[in-house]
Amino acid sequence: MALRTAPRPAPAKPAPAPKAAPAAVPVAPMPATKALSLPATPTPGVKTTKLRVFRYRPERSDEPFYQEYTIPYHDDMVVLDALNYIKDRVDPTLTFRWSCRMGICGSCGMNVDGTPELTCSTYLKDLKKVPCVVEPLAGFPVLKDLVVDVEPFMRKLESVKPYLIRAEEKPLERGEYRQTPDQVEVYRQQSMCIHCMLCYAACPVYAHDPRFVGPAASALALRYELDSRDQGSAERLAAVATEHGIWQCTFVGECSVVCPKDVDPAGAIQQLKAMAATRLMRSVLLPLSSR
Amino acid sequence: MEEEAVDRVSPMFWGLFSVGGFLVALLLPVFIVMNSLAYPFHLIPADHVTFDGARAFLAGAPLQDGPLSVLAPWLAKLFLVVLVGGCLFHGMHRLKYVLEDFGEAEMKRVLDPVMYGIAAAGTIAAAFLAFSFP
Amino acid sequence: MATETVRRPYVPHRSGWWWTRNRRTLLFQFRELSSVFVILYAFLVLWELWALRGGASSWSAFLAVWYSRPMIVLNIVILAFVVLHAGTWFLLTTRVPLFRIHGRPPPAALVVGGMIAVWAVLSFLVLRFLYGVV
Repeated sequence: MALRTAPRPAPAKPAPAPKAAPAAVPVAPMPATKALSLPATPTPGVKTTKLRVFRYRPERSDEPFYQEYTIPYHDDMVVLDALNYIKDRVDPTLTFRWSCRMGICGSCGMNVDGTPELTCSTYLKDLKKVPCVVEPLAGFPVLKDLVVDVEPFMRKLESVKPYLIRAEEKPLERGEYRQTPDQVEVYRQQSMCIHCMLCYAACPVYAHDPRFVGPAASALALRYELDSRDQGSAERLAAVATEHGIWQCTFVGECSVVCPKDVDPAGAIQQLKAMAATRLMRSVLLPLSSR
Repeated sequence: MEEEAVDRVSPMFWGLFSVGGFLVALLLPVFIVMNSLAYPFHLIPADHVTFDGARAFLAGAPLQDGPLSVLAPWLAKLFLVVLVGGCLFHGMHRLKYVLEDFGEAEMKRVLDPVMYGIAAAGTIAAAFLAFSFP
Repeated sequence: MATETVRRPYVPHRSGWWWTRNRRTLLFQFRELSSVFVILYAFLVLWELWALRGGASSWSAFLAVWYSRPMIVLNIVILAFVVLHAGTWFLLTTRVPLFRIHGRPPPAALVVGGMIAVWAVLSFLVLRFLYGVV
């Protein structure tokens, strides 16, 4: 869709002052951001906590190592706050990904105490161990510190043809492809994926063999399969029903356990298996049927 | 990413695994109880487990006097063959993945034919044995 | 497309004992290992058929082992794993909806309840038409 830049509108004339001015509502002053108001080094009286963070500096050493940081602590601190505190005030060399800090961008996934979590949504007060151990997402090659290589994942997403495939496009004059709320509900769950890759970090099959297409890519395939507007079953199932596709899954189910958006990729893969198997049976038993 | 060929073999074995899974879940419990545990726990009398009693089971004794008597020579034998086949194809598929998980990815090429081969052989043996009785 | 890079990624290694890390994955592995016991029972049934085919004395010798205490214990263990399989199997099938109500899958409790009902009916039919009890 091309952006049409409209000419800037002329500034509006100020509105006339109202006859009776309303009474001013007292507004409390904005509290200073807690992280910045904390001291750089622990001072007496300020609670502290410890983090044990995985470090990997390939330009210095082939071997990763762990570094411990003691930082000030407050009750509503999430792991990402702790990492940002470390980077801002203690060790600027610590490298990690993050963006929205509200659980929607999918950038800040890491292994916290051995479990894949979104660090922006994991409260330190909910963690059972001190020090809290922060490691890069399991199963992925580590580029530096907490940053993993996401390129293969991106290619897997592309490989499942994540777009509506039509046998015949409807001409624009005939209007939109309409869906009832029930039709949307069918694929809504799989559409909630934020591509955070926590599911890949939890998947033992992926950790064993990185060629596995994996949970998120499969859930994405199902999202389009279940979309009533889509007519690309043949191509899309062919893309996922491969040796390193859905057939490598053993339904451990850990992916669905760690998913922050309840996408249930494990269930999605089993649904794809049923669809692919049914399709194959139909093509063998009824070879003349067109689908 | 290079395109992999569609796998036409895995769905077949997955289908057998799924059907087998239902057979094991739905039919095996009652069969294990009746076949192995009912007599030692005094739930059935001795004449069920004598040589003649066992052969009568295979010959479909409970059906012989009823409206379903035409099924009598088939049902128990078919039941056993289907159950043994279901157990083997279900079990071998699952065990195969367990073993591959412990080993290297290349083990697949050896394990697949061996494990499914044993399952097929066992099923054929069950059919041969069961239907060798009158 | 990618430019020349001096990246040296650190590739982690996954242990074959990954499933011992938490309770869910431990249960997963027990579920998968139920396959061993299912396969074992299939072979026990083949042995049973073979012994029956061998005649009356072969059958008595077989029964002496079949109803020995170690075998009964083994069969109870097998039954326990088969029940574990059945329970986890019914729960797994709730993740693959056979039909949808207003776009949503049917409630899991309904599906599991339905499967248990089918199990009960099938068990009854086996007891009545194969064993002639009930």
